[in-house]
Amino acid sequence: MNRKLRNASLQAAFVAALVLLVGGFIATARSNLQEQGITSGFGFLERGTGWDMGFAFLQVSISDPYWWTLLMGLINTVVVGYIAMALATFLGVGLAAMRISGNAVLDTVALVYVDIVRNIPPILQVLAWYALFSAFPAPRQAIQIGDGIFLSARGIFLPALNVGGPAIAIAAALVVLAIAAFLWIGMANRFMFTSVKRKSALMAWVLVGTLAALALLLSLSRIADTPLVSVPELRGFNFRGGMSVPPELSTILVATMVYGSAYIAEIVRGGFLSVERGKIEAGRALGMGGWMIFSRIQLPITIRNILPMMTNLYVWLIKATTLGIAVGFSDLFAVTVSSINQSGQTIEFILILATAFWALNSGLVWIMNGFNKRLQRKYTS
Amino acid sequence: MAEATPDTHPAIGRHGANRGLAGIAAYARKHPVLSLLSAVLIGLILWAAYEVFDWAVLRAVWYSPDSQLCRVEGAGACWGVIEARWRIIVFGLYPFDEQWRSLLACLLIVMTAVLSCIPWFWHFKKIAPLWIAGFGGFTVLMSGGVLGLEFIPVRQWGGLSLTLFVFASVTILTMPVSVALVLMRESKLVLVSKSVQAIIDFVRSLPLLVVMFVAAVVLPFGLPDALIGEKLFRVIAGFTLYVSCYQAEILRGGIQSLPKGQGEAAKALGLGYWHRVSRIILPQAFKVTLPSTINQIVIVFLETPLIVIIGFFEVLASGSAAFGTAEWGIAAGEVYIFIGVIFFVFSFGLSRYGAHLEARLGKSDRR
Repeated sequence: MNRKLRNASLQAAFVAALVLLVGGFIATARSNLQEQGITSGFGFLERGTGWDMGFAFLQVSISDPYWWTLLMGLINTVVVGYIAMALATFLGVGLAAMRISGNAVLDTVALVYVDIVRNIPPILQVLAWYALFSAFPAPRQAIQIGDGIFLSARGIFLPALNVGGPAIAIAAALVVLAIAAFLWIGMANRFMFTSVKRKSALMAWVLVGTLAALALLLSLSRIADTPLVSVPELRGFNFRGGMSVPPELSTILVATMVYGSAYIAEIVRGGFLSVERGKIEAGRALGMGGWMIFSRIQLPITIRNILPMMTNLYVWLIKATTLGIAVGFSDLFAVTVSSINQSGQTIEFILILATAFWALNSGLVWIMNGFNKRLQRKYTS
Repeated sequence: MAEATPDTHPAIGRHGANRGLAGIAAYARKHPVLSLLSAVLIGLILWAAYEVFDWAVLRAVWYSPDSQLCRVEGAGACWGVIEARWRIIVFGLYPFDEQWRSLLACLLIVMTAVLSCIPWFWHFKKIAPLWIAGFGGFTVLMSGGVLGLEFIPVRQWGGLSLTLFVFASVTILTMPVSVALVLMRESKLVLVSKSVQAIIDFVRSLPLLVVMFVAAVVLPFGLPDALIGEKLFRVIAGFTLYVSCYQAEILRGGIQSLPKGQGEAAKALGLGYWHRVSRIILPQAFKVTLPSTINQIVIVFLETPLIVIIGFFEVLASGSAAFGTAEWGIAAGEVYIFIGVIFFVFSFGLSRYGAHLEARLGKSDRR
């Protein structure tokens, strides 16, 4: 009984101390901010910002309210984070393949890449990439690749489709949906006993349907009286038409991709090498060929082995996009810092920022855990 | 079976004869695509290596008191900038006449780090005094005010020594803080363990930059004036909290990997909580997690230069200052390479050491 009492009072004291610490902090901060004439609350979100956030995927102007600017920052973080993750995964898997190819040259090249990238501070890499992307010549002397790609200090200019903004968003959503459908048909328990032929037919229908929907979307949302593809053209001192990728965006994408790929390569390689020899030998004993062993034994086990580590890495990569602030990329963190400087609503903005990152990470973990559960169920039962 | 298995393949032979030119020819016959790919790759690498060598060594300007020699047509890397500006890169704004102290302090902390890699020091009673002496010496040398050394406030510290100071402080402070966190996390008191778990998960979901920013800019609003302190120390505290949350999770993994019998046997022997934790659980958890801990330390080292964004004059900022004049503006790449090489040497050495330890621990476990 005495012990129970002691435990209960210890816990109560601990929680009380925590509450006091946090409560005291917020109370002090509020009174300090009130002295500076800043009232707490979230009403300011409706006020116009009065400053321009730089790069955004949708229209932003200086008269937009804070909530819209913050939302654009969040979209920048999410889009850049997820694209960088996808690129890093492709590159990382390729590097891992080089490392386990058994070919000494490929192995060494990948090893040197991984060791260099993993032992140089990420922030230094970001600055170095930025120096590279802004060292391209001025638009007039831009480096031309093929017919429509130009590299210049103002950014990389690519051909684009002459369609409205919302159509692009819908098209992106369609592509994501199609990929999800493929994964669902490939992995869901519902299709476990469906024949390969039937599954292929289903996937073909999804493909045809998606392509048809995309074509319809494009033809409906075309901007009138313009060619379908808009190619960047030099007019005066800058390019017109096409799509421009500013150096800040290229920097953060490439830096995150390169940095992430080195870690992914090591994770994938480790997962692949940890497949027990016995399982491979069992496959060989059953008369499986090399490709069969790879696709039915080594690959599934590798994916299962590496998923938890990949989740951690993805969370880490999406957090690493905050480094964009060093080169002036307007991600959520950069927008929040500017907002704090301009409006003084420190506590509120930090709360929003923390909540947003917590939600982003939780969402990512939720998706990855979903995959993990599916895989565990499929291969262990 | 029609297909020959690899180790009886006629072209390769049985007894490891697949060496030398014959081996390469046999390999090329067996994997034509891979071989072609590697031949192309070798060609590309040789070409790139020559270009880099030509730029960095053959055409390089090694000495150029002002940048005139670097601006000559066809000049390669301008290493003259390092020669001319290394003091500002390494020491930052530290007073010129006292920079020997900063150099000595850096050497001292590096030596302490190297010494603590020797297994003989791996005992609390040896490693703690070593680091107290090393870090204490570093601080005394840098800040002065005693032994006839001129006092130099933290605001004037800069360059590599500031980076090392932050790195060393965070690494040292992380150890006790993470142990405290993991003990609370594993505590039987439900409320304590739940709330500490919530704190750890919350901090881990934030980017390091946000934690540093909060420590530097937001904390002063909510702290009583007496506790605000120097901005550098607040950032070190925030950085430490962030790393400790990760380190606590590493230690928790180590504790959970120990056989349950270890703790139970200690209990059966009548050992109290503190004895169990300090003599049985923690030493073994430390041993198991040593490789991941070293990985974590490498990551801390690589993340330390982030403080440049919060406005500290650490090595990246002093590097930009080194090429920030009109004279040396052409040599940004060379300065970045110089800084990159410094980081690479330390970080690669440490991670190789971690890999070596991992192999060693693996061996001793199998014995």
